[in-house]
Amino acid sequence: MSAFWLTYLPVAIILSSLLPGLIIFTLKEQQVKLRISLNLLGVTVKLVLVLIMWQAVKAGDIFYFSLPFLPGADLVLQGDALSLLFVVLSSVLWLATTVYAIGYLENSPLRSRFFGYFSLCVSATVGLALSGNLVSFLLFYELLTLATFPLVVHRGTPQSLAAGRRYLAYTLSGGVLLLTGIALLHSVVQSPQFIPGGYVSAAVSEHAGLLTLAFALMIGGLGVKAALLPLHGWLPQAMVAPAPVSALLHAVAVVKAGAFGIIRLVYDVFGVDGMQQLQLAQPLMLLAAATILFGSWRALAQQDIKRRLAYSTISQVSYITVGVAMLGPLAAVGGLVHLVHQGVMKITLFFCAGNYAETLGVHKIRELNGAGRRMPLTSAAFTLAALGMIGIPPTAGFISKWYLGLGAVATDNSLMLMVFVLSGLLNAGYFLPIVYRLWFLPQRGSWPKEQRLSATLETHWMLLLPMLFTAVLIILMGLFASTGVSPLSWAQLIVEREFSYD
Amino acid sequence: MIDLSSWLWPGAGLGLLTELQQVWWYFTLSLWCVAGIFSLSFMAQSAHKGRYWLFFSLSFAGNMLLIGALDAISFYIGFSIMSLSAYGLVVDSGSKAARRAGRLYLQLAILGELLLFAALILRASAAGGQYDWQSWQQVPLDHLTILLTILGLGLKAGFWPLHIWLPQAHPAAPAPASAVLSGAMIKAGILGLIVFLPSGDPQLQHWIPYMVTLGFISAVFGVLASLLYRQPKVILAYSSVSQVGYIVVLVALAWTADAVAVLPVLIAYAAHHAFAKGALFLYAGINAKQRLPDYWQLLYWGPALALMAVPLSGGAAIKTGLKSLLSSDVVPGWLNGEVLTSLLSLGAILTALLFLHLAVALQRQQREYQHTADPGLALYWQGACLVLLLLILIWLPWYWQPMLQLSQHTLAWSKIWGLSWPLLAAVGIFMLGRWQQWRLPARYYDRNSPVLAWSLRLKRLYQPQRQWQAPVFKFNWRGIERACNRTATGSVVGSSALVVLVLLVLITFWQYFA
Amino acid sequence: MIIMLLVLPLLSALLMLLWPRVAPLLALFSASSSSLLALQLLVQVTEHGSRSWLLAGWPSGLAIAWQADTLSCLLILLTTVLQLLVGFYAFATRNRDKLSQGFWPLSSLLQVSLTALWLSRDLFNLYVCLELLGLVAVALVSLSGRSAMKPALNYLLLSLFGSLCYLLGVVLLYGRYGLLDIAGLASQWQADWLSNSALLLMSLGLMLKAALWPLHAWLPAAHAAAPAPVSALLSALVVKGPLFILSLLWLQLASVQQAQAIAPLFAAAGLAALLFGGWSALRTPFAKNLVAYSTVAQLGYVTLALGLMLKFDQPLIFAALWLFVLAHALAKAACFLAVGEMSATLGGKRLTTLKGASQTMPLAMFAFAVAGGSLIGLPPSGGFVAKWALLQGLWLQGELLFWPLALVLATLLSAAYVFRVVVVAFDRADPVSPDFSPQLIPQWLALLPALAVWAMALFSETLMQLLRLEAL
Repeated sequence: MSAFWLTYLPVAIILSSLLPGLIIFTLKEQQVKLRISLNLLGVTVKLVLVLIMWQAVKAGDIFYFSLPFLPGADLVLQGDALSLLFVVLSSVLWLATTVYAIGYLENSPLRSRFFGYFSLCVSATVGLALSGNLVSFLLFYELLTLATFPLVVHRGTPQSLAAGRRYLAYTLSGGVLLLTGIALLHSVVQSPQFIPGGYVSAAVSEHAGLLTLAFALMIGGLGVKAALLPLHGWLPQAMVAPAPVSALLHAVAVVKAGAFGIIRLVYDVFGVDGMQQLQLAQPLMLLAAATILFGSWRALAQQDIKRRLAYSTISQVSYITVGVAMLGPLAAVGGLVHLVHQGVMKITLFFCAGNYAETLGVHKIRELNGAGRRMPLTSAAFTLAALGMIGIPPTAGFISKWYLGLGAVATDNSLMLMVFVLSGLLNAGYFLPIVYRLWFLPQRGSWPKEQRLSATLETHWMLLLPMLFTAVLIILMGLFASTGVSPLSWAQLIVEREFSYD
Repeated sequence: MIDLSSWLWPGAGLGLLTELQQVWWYFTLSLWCVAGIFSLSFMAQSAHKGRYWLFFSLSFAGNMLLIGALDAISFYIGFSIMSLSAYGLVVDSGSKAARRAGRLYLQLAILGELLLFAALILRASAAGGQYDWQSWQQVPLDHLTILLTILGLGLKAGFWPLHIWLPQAHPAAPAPASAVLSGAMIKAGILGLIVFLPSGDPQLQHWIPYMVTLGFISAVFGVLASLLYRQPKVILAYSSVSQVGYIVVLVALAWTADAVAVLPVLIAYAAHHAFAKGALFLYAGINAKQRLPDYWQLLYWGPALALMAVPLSGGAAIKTGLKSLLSSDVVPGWLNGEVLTSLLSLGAILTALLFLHLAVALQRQQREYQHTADPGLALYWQGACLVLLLLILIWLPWYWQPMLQLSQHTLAWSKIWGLSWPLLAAVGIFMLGRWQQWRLPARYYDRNSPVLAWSLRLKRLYQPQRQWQAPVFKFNWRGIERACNRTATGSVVGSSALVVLVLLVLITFWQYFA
Repeated sequence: MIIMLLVLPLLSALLMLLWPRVAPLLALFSASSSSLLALQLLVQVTEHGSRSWLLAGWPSGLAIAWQADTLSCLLILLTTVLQLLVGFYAFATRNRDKLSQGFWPLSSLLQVSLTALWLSRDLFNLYVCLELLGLVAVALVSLSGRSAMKPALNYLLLSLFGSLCYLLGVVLLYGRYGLLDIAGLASQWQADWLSNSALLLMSLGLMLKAALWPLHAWLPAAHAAAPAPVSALLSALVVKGPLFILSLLWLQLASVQQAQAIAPLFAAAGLAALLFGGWSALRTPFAKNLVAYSTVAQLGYVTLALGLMLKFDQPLIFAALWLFVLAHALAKAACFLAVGEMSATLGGKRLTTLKGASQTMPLAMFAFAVAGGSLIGLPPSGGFVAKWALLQGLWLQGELLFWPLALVLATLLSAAYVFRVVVVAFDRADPVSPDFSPQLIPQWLALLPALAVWAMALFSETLMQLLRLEAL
């Protein structure tokens, strides 16, 4: 690959969604065809570029682009295996969500704005994945906050505005904490590029207190988006957003940004050695474990479908953190692969929830009785994803839990194994009753607000297709986990290549 | 064997390499097929036919997969598919009792699933990332893994005290489903216990005596509990608990270093019980639906007698085999072989009592129908399935190599007497009981099991209507703000000038003193 | 060339009085050519180092001392560019807003006084500039008509009072040293009672004029009452003038002990400004008052940085101080123009008028949000760079906990008031419909400085380098 592409491909990947997004802002509401074509063009170009990058990174190329910014901290974009994991995830799911959103928002107002911010949001996510040092990461992290806010309040109702306010309060506070932490770290060791094994170990003996403080601040900042325990409050409220937004928020963009940041922080900034010397891993792990259990427990009592899914997200995302914090190669594989698997499963669940809401007007769990007969495909996808969340083989969720479990045992954290089992039980406790209602209970009266969106299918094909696509992915990723194209093999590659385990 | 390791995970494969797998495969397959053929007519009028067949075939597939699996993950996949789909079979009728039973079943199935998951993780870690049975044979066990495995698989196998779902779920399911649940699916748990825990493992040896004890408790408990119920399918379910007890004893014996002698008895027991129990459940299903001609009782007594171990039956062969195993010096630990053999005789009496009790229960059920219906084609079809199973039961002990050897041992007169006297004793006790009207007060019969209440409580726990909420602190800051605003009225110029002056004076003073 | 920077706007102001009809064109012409000149000056100064003049050929001590260093040149450039931008805005909205003809000459005079102020290094000359600046500013506020009379009058009174205090201080110093140019005074400076008092008097006067907490009370009313382009100029530039003098006094004149003694007071005042200003912005029901209170709060950053600079004498903090000034000027201009545009189009002063503005006037709202991002300090904006420099400076000095924490709190407050507006703008339930169809060009003009403040981040390394050198 030529030097030009090695430099500018990361930029091109970001621009491939940013430019269509900016153009879409200027479009008129009626220019539906143009808008859709622009969207799809952006998606396709991005996928092609990402594919090229994937091949190159697999072959061992390193992408690097930098722009002078702060003294000692340039704006750096780099494409390594870890960033690619997230980039591929977000691009593929962006494709699914875009199609879904086109179908979901058909004939609703302000679509130009929506799709504009939607593209911005993905650009920020991809930029965050590609950013090569903490300062660049911070930049995209904040941009992501700003780009998602209009999506959260898209409906413009008092409820969604309240959710938006809360979302901002949390994420901006988190952003400030992150900024403080990064600035503190910068004052100690500057902000060089992310490197496997981290760059703080030289300063550990001298500045242990400062480094710990910086770590705590940054985890506080990232923990807001990753919905770690005391900082999770925004997530269930952000549910008022339209389904594609929730899907994107939960599966790809926001919560994953936090989790991805934690991965970067642990492996590429502090490094395993640094984490061990500073004894930071254990508290992080316990916090994440508490979040797993708390989220699941809270989910039990939620009667709104999307709220229940939201609490489930809180719990599931912390699996990633736990996997990272256990500081073992197998656990890291588990955490990394869960980043992808959770994304695909959760997006499927939100697509399903959106389909129920859009087609039947169903928002509450108790209204779902007998929906399996009316919408068999949606319900089947929901069931599959729910089983995946519990960790039933042969779904993707099983693979990630399997590796997490192996990692827990390998790092002598049998406690975590117990947490996984307990959380699996809780997951079953809040997902299976829904599945039961879908399939085994008779319909209760008529649907709240039924729409016939398609003559032959159970709902609009654009709502159906992305959901089926991700549902099939769940099975494929679970069954063919060992093949060369699976997320699992990529996670193993990352751990081998970049996490500096022997 | 089909090697899938390049596609799936290391060691992935399907095949029937050991005798254990082959026997399991064939008896499970035949039982499922017969049950399937039976269902064709039995379930023809069912409301949710599609759903029934979906779950039927899913659990069928899962069951076959777990038997053919050559590695732990394939086994686990099959196991999960089977357990979860069987839920659909349990709640098929949609009645309240079925839903209740289904809930309990699912709760425990999920629990078992996750316990097994934990056990698998521990085991796979110990094996260093290898998942196939071959590699696992060499890896030593530890107590936690053993405990988790026994709990996880035991919840499926259904021996005491992990049987609690069994007497609820089996009666609730349609007859063919109960047949496979009892005949094939609980055997999956047994199979798992053998393949997961390699025989001869030093840690495992500590567990054998306890498991043997557990098996005997289960065997006795099953019968005693069954006597308190009058529904045929509940009695049959408890009979399964009791029979599984014997199988568990065999499994425990198979864990010893010289498993060679035990395995044939074990597989014979499993296969024989599968067919016999399958046949009985199917019969109970027909029996509950219409009045049958009297000669149809033959179809009941065939399998029943086989399980009661009348001489020349398959049951006799395996009971004798079991007895000889226990009386030989393979019995490990602090167990006494003689006590065990006498317990076995007691067990035989009890088993016989159970089936006599069941016969009465079936008769009672028949009396509800006044007229003998004309047995139409459907009934003949179902009867043919039963006959098929009966033929297998007759064929097995004399033509199937592992059982043939056992059967040949039973031909001595002493053995025949040893088998017969418990039966006669049981008949005697039963007659005496009926003549003397030995009965407990009515409130002891047909009680709802307390586990249903536990299950409900558990459900309320995981489907709470309300949860603890973090307290919200109300603070009237608006009032304070208003008060501040009220004090801050006044002219801008005056106040600013005042501030300047005050500052000037203050700083001057401060400077003066400092 | 430097003379041209003063003469050009002065001349055009005079011409405007003669030919009011061409006033806008003249103003735009003078502003644009001064911008070019200022740019050229900046390039020269960065290449060849700072230059000083003694005007009118008098010897040092008597003559008016002028100095063009990098900081002054940057500020001049900022002044001229903002003048140009605001001029364009006023031109674009002249028919709609019925802006008085007085605006054009006054704004040119404002430019003259500011440019002179940035260049002067002489206490009396600074006083003259300050006085002129104050008067022009009051006149500009009063352009709004009757409703602005009271705030303008208050402003005038306090401005005069402040000037008087300052003048008193200057007189004291002149009596004591017989000198007025800062470099000369600094060389003979003695930290005695008299010079202490003089410094204090001058500082109080300047604080009053710069609306530093607790002497800010006049600012919200005055800035809110002024027409949008005027508020933009006032908030972005005018309050920075006294601040500049204040920093000159304390950084160049005062002795180390004096600086050390006053530092905590400045820092505390800055913090209080951040908190109280932020809170008031969060609670006020009027849109322009919100932005004006935000100015009070943002000036708190500058005061805080000044206090910390006096305490630690750390070049990074000095850089942060002026980065705050630059970033705030650009961002605040954008904010005022955007809010002014929205209020004018949607017809109302209250914040609730902006309901649904993200839908009806997306561009202006976007400008406000982008500028607000810099006020908050979101990366990669000028505000972020300034905050970054301040934090780095603090940590280099080993100041770990209190001040960073205070900054975090202040940032959150500013985020709260900025997003208060944004959230209202996204309220689609019951949007306020515009009185007439929104004009695009003014909205773009509001967006320009907002984009500029984000672009500032790209040159942050250069800027920080320049400003750090200045502190040494």
